[in-house]
Amino acid sequence: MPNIKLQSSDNEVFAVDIEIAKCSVTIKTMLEDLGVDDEEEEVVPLPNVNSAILKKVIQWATYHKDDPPLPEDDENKEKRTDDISSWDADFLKVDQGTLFELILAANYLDIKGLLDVTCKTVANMIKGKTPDEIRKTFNIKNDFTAAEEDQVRKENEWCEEK
Amino acid sequence: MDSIETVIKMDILSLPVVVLENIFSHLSYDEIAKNRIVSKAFNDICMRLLNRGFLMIERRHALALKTVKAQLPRRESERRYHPLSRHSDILTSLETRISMLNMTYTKFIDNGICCFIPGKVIDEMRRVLSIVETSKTPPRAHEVLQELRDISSMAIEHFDDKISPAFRKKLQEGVVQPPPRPAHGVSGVLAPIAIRQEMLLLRRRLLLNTKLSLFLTAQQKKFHKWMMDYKKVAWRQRKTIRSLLRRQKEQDTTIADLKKRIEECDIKYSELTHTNQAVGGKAITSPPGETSTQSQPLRHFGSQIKLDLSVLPIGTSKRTQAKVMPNIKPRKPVIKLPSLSEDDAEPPPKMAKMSKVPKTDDKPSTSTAKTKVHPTIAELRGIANEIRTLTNLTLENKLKRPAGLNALDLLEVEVKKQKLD
Repeated sequence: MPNIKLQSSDNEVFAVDIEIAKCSVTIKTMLEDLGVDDEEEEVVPLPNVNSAILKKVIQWATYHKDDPPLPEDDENKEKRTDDISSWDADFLKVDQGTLFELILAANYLDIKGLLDVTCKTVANMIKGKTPDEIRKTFNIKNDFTAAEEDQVRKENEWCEEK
Repeated sequence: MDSIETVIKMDILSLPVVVLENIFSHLSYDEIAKNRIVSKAFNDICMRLLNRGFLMIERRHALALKTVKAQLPRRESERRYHPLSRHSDILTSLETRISMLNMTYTKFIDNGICCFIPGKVIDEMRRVLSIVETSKTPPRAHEVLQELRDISSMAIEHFDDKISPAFRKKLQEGVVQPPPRPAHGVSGVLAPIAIRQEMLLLRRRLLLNTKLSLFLTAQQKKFHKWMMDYKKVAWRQRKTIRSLLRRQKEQDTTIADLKKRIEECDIKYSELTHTNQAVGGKAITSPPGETSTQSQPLRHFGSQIKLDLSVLPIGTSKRTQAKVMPNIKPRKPVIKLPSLSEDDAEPPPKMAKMSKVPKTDDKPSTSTAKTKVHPTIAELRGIANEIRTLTNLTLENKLKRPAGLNALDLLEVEVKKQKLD
């Protein structure tokens, strides 16, 4: 099986099956545009992905290599977040930093499946939580002034039951 | 572990806007509206998503209404009994709701003062539209639209009573400014002019990027071509090196062959020298009445014979000979013998004196004249000349027919003849 070498930002090189690497649209397009032969073992630098994350990405791509292509997004359809497979759920049981790094890597490498599942995981972390809980979960500082906060609260009061 | 630790420092707000929007798109518009209060960044993203959501609903509704209307009959009496009549009723009612909402919010949204606040209304409109799009026999319009009527009215009333007066005041005072662009790229609601400017900027950037990508593609193609050229050159050089190595091997074998032949020639030469010595000894001792002093120079003949090696039959063919020594032309073989007169005066092995030998060879008449004065010396000189010519002749013959008579045998026969004479 022809391999491709992926170099992480900390200069670690991973030899990956070219078909698995092509899960990434970025790598696939690069290989097609540059006309790199399958026989040539070119090193592809990925300056935005560190070795720990690249390792996880390769692990995910290897598991999902035989998945059918994802359908195009329909903006009119409501997106579900309860359809994450158990393997993906276990795979994404990581700290928030790693999860966000995975999202960044998936976005950079244009791996739609991984981006979808990671975004769904974060969306599930937001769903059903009050603004205070969300702040605590993601360590977000409330940077509104009192007047600004009041204004937003006032705007949202319309649906509160009396 | 270091990388993991550095990763922990990253928070949700360091993600690109497009990714945050992707995350929020998995939430309902009601949740999006409620999460505005989390932080300013959240507020910016949520406002944008709410505005976009309402626009999308408007477009989706317009498309659905157009599709249904196209299928309905022109006559109103006929429309009532058409299977799509309920669809049409729902969509028409929805249109009214959308118009009311538009009238309430659009002016302020366009001025960047607020966003489409009631996210729940967007969710409800989406639900209604999906019923219209998917169901063949949807419920009656008032049943489907009841919730939407309720909540949209609540939202409009609340906005008109409590929110819009302050906004109107702001608009009248002219204090409204387009919201500043945040440093991390999360922009707020943009006014139409700002949107136009943003679009122009993006178009300019797009053009630049296209040019850059075209340039980079051209460069890449050029480099690829160069690389292929270099590969061809390297391949050619490798081929040349291989042929040179083959030729070197051939030459090595030829040199070895030549060495062998030279050794054989050396052996033959030494044999010839010995035979010459032997012949010289006989010639000197055979004539009666000669002194020992006159016979001595002849004993050195063998050692003084200078054989021109360039004329030796080196190599098996003329072709190989030409290959090995291309600059050396085959010459007539010449064996140089020292003249007797000089041998008398000086010791025999002197190369400088040898150059005088051809003079005596060219003028045999002077040697015959001297015979009258010194008969014995003249005789000896005659014998020497004979030997020289015979040796030359035999060598020539040998070159022409190597399998012929041995030159030495011929020489001996001639010498014997001389003796007998």
